[in-house]
Amino acid sequence: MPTSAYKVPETDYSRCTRKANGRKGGVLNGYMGKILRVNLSNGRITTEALQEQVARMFIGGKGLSAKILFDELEPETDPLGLENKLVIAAGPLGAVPFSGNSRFSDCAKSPLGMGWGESYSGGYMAPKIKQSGFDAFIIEGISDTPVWLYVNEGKAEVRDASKYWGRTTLETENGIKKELGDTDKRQTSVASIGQAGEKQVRYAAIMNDLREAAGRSGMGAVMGSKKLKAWGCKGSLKVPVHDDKKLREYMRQCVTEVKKGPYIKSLHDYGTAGDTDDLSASGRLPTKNFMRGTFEGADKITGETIVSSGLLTGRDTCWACSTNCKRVVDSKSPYLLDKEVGGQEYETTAAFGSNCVNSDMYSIAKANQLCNLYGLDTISTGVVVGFAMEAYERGIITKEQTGGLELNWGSLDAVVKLVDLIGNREGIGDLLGEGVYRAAQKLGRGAEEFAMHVKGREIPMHEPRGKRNVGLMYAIADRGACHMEWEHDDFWESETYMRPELGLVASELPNRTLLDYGLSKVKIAKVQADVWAMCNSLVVCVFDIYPGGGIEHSTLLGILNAATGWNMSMRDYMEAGERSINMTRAFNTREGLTRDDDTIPKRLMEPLPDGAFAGKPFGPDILDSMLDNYYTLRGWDKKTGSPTRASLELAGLSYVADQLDKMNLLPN
Amino acid sequence: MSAIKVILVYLGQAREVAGTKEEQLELPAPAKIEQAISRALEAHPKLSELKENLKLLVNGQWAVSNAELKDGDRITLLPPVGGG
Repeated sequence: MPTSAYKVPETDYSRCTRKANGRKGGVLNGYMGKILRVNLSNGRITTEALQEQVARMFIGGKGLSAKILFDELEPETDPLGLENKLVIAAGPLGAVPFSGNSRFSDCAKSPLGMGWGESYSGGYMAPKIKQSGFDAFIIEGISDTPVWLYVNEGKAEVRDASKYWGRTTLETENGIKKELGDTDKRQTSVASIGQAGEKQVRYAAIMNDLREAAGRSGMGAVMGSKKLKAWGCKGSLKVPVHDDKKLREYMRQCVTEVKKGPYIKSLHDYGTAGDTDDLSASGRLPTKNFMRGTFEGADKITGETIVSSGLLTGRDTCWACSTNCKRVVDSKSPYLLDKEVGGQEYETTAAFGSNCVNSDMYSIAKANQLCNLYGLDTISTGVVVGFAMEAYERGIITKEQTGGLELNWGSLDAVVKLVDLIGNREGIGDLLGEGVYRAAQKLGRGAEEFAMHVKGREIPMHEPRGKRNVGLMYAIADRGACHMEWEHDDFWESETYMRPELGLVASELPNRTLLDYGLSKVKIAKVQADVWAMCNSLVVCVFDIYPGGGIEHSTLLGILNAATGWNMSMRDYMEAGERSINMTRAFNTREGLTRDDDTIPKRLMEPLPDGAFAGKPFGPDILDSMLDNYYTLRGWDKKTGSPTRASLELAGLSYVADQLDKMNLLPN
Repeated sequence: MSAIKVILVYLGQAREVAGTKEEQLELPAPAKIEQAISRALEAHPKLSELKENLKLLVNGQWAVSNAELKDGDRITLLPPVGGG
């Protein structure tokens, strides 16, 4: 894909005749124009102006966080040490009400992975970050005692959190709201960690609004290492926008478009778990720690069964979203569930279900709620439980090590109790709290062979042997194994989802097979990666965005321009996404990661024994071919997988190239 | 003329459109998958909106529309399944 040098345009403040929330230099439309910096070591709280040049290039969320962390972290920073920083960011559309616009990012060097870490969550936090007066928070240092951060109407204070330490996320959030005297449950949006984050389980999540999780990459452990128990945002400040009338027109367009999304009705009715049995039927449901692709119990745990059984008692949603994909579950037996703590999504269903050969949806619901209360990523935790079961079967983990708990495949008791042990880092839970990569290294005896991770991060619940671009995605993602870098292969086999404005044209459609791995298929991945990276910088929910959701990128671009007044082109939009990918790749290059780390576990390269893809391997030759094409399309070096000076300069990142050059990390 | 009985299995969006998870069809033998799909489209016209994106499995294995059917076959209509 051609890229062009990014030129920062002259700043035009001629329209900015008023001050926005006290920001020096005038209004930065779409933004509050301020970043809050909190040093927990010395309690110093400062406010910094968000420069327009930075906002235009890096947008928000992923892009802005990558810029801040690349600039401010030294290579080889201890992710759980004093020098790591947590960047919490909304996007420029953070308080504009349309379906899917409810997310924010948490980024830091990952304690779970080997370099870059990022995670996203929905709920009600994103607009509250903006309305509290800021676009982003930078958390640095380590507090001597547990604290929580309160941000309200442009002011911030660090408060004592001793009484919340050792408490669940539910207790913490309710406690903070009580402390603030809130009378409305949406007055303050609170994000917190549970015991898992405090004890630095490497895949600890940050939970917000009781049931929303920034699960992946161990951002909760970073909070725990800093003794930051929670943050809360309150406020009603207005985000200045360039053209309110135009913005409203685009918002109305969103209402029309979102209804056209092929997934929307199913997401509402059955949640993300609605596809569970479909994936099994097509031989692509991760089962028994990725040993199989079909699960005979799939119909017992799928979204439709959660509804028809009565386990589902309600549906919930994020701020401004009409999709209602969130699940509310409630039951008194066989496990006591709490309707406040959320219901299982697809990833959780498969991770604790088929992946552990467990067809009991109640035990999955319980494991999910325990994860939410302790603050654990359900994907990583489920994969860890599956790993432990296989290690137990092979005699690598013994009954003595588990304290008598039998980790047999399909054991409901094992699934639920292991979550308890991991959340508290008790017994075998202490080892498993390290994640499969580190646990396997400690266990030895061949455990590395079935530790399902990439770059230290556990593999999500999608089977790459039936979706080749998903295999590439697992290998290439800078945050480690990820299923959300681009939409999966199924969508890219017909003209329906081609979009010329994105460079996706029918004449370049891949062969009509999920097993295709040629250049056209990889090009689709690259284009989609750019626009989804932009979604992560705008911080919007891809469930509501093309292709699975109905909102077009041209509409998002229109909203961005109406909010900011920037007049960006679609090419600018895609380049901003690509720029953020170059930043995170440069971050990992600086950490010493190379092409050798862009791989998938050996098990995923071997053929499945069952289902529609039985006998068809995803061999190293296939992955190598896809990687070669991907690096070429990005202008990266095929030998090392690193960005080149040319690719960085084309992305407007000369200073990043200079820094890598000084470290002798730029390919010749 | 002999006939065969096959089962159509609707997944995901196809299930929503058809309003049923599966249904039995009787087709004159010999019959190909495309004949079964035509019958499904007649019974559920809105399925035509999905037709371009549907994948087909027969007895759990990928199949093409001109493949011949035999008595008792289960034909699965699978719309795109994405991430999330």
